[in-house]
Amino acid sequence: MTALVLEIDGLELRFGGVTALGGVTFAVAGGECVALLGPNGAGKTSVLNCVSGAVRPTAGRIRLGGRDLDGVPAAQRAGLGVARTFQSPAVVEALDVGGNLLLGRHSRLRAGLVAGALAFPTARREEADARRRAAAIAQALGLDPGAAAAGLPAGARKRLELARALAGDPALLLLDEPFAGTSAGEQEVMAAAIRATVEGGAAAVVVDHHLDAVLALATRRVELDRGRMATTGAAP
Amino acid sequence: MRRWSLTAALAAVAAYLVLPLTVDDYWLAVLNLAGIAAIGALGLDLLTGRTGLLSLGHAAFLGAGAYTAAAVGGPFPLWLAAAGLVGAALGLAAAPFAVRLRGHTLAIVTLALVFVGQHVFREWTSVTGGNAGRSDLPAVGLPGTHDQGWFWLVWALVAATLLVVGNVARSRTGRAMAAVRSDEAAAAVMGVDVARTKAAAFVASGVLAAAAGALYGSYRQYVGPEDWGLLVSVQYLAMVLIGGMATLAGPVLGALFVTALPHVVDVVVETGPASGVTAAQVTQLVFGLLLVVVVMAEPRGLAALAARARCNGRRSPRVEQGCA
Amino acid sequence: MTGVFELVVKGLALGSVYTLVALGFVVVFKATGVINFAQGALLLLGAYLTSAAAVGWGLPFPLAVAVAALGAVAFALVVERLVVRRLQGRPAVAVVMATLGVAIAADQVVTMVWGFGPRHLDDPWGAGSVRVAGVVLSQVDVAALVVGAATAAGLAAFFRGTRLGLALRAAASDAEAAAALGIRPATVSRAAWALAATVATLAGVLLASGPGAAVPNLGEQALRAFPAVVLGGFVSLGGALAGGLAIGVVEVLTARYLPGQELVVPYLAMLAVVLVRPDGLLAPREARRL
Repeated sequence: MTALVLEIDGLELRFGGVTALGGVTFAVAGGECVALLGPNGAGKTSVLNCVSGAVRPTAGRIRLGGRDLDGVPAAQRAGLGVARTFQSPAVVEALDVGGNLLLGRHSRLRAGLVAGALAFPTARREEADARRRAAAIAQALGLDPGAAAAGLPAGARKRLELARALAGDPALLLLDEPFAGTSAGEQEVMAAAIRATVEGGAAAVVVDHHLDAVLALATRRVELDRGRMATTGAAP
Repeated sequence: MRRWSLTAALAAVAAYLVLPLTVDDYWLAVLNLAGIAAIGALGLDLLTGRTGLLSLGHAAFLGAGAYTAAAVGGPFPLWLAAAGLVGAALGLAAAPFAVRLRGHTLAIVTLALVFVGQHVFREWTSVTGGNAGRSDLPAVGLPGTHDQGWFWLVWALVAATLLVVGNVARSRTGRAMAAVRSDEAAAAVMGVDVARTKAAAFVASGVLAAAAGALYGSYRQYVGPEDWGLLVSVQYLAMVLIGGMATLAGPVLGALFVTALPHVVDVVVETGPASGVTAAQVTQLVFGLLLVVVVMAEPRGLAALAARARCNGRRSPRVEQGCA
Repeated sequence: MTGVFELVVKGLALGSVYTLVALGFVVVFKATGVINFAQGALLLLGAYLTSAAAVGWGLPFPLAVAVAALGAVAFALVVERLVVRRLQGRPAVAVVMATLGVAIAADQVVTMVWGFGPRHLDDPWGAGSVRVAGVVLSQVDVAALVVGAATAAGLAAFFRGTRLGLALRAAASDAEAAAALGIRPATVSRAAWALAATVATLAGVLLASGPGAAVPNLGEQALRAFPAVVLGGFVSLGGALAGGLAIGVVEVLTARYLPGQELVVPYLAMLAVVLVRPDGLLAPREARRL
């Protein structure tokens, strides 16, 4: 059996009298893509927030590759291979498309302030390498690395958001509504990229309301209802 | 980054070499002060323009650099490097505040830096000369007259600073800075160490500010605590804002603009006892009004205006050409 | 020890002035999210206008202050309308620079109109002193305490008891709640600035009266109230009150026991507090995020 990349056990999230998550349990192995489904307010985004480290759960355990993530800050989790896309793309308008992509690789690169400022050869090599990888992903998703990130149309922003997540060779993909606002053609291209990454050994959790697109990708589905598990099982 | 055409580069080098031989000392001095300010402004832009950390404390770093140069003395590379190191250390000391505080609180806290800084500058008389200041700053042996030699030195340093800051902007750290400015929480999820990035921004800004302060002191051969007040911090912020944040040309254009302003006012406006207003009053009034007008009218500053003029007619989404 | 007690009372008097400045600052911030660096300019304007009205026009003092406040409010509303409202949604740097620009320009206009020399206010309390509860206080100090307390009480009633007051408290942090009160954001913004101008005028009058005078750098004294804003957690009106009084007391005590350091100690205190409690002394520790 392929190693479990993500294990969520009894995850609870309560704040201000609201129970966003009241006990969520599931696991995802390498090479698996789980469709996280449920109506609005079911807690899907909360699960992604807890795993990515944006929010601290009230109870429960999250393990990444066997390692307990309790107390591990978000940036460190990214370094461990967690890549998350946001519903509203976190595109950095001051950078070009390539720059945004390279942000996805941030934790895999090492150059610090001085190395970057003085253009050390190690830093330059690292950058060139990263740019090559980023260019490949950009091409796969129909993006131009040299284009300005500001002013991209909505679909392109979603593709950029996904590309950034993929650029870091993630072990775990957390995709929050990646297909929202994209055309059928874009969805095809994005799905292909996600599938390729998952087949390469990554685990993926996808939240989206485009059920046909998501279920075509997914090997399993997990359903939430008001913060709790509804059913789990193989995709039909 | 824009590629300079060969002709533009040659023109720049030619201007650099020839200007001091043709321009009179008065305006040469203005250009020298502007160049020194440009170095400081490029530093502040890394902090405020690129990382989004509003700092009113820049004057304190400038002063620290100047007094370090005075205290260390010796050959030029030594005191400049010493000033840079002190600037870096102070930047590092300021970093924990940036990490813990939200933008508005940070702004007030950096205000505190200026006041505490001036207080230290006034009290630590053994190093700073107290209220009387210091006039024994190290000089630099340069060809030509004082202003000519300094022009060549300063603007060579500006070019070097542009190179370094450009490198930072294109580097991993530069991307992290932009991400932090855009959305700190999202940046963290992407893997950016926000605390470290903010510290890097303060350190880089501190180094350049201290270097600028040291150069200022050596050039003018005098520094006093009144040189490092809140108004100076505001002027530097204005350079960054008016020039254009997160650009290379912006801080330089802004520095030229703000430095030249009082001199231009002097030439254009009738001041003195007869008219009832002083040149300083008119300058400050114009400065204040301009700040408001620029913020409201062209938030992307002079650099954007220049870019627009250059791009007129060209429609290209490519960032390299600077035409949005 | 009468000595310390007297100092503390003087400190509270000075602190009352700082509280006024801090309150004006916090009100604008809570209502509009704007850091109003022009608060000092409003203070300056209030003081000079009072001098002009009381000495220049010979108006009775309370009327002069009222006229000056109206003038300051008018100026504030112009700034609000022409500058601040247009900068809605722009990054903090832009708004800060705009208010700073206003402050710098206003400072110059004041000296252009009234010159650099000190201007007296013809205030009723003058340089005299008074004996209260065994302590000798200058009459200005008494005025400061009275005005400060009255203003604080009045504002408290206003903020708790009126819809506009509630809206002012909520607007920046919870626009929906403010909107639910049925008051337009533009009105909230105007009210906040008008309030800020009024308390700034009172503060300016107190600083410039008695043995003092309206001088061009009066606005800088407003900056001394900023640690009060931070210590009070930036968004807490009660905090601004407590912070202002605290800073005043700290300043006076430091002036006596560590002469020469009194202007910097409040700032150092602020730096120290802010490292440990970034949200001010009174705010509860925010839920820790990873």
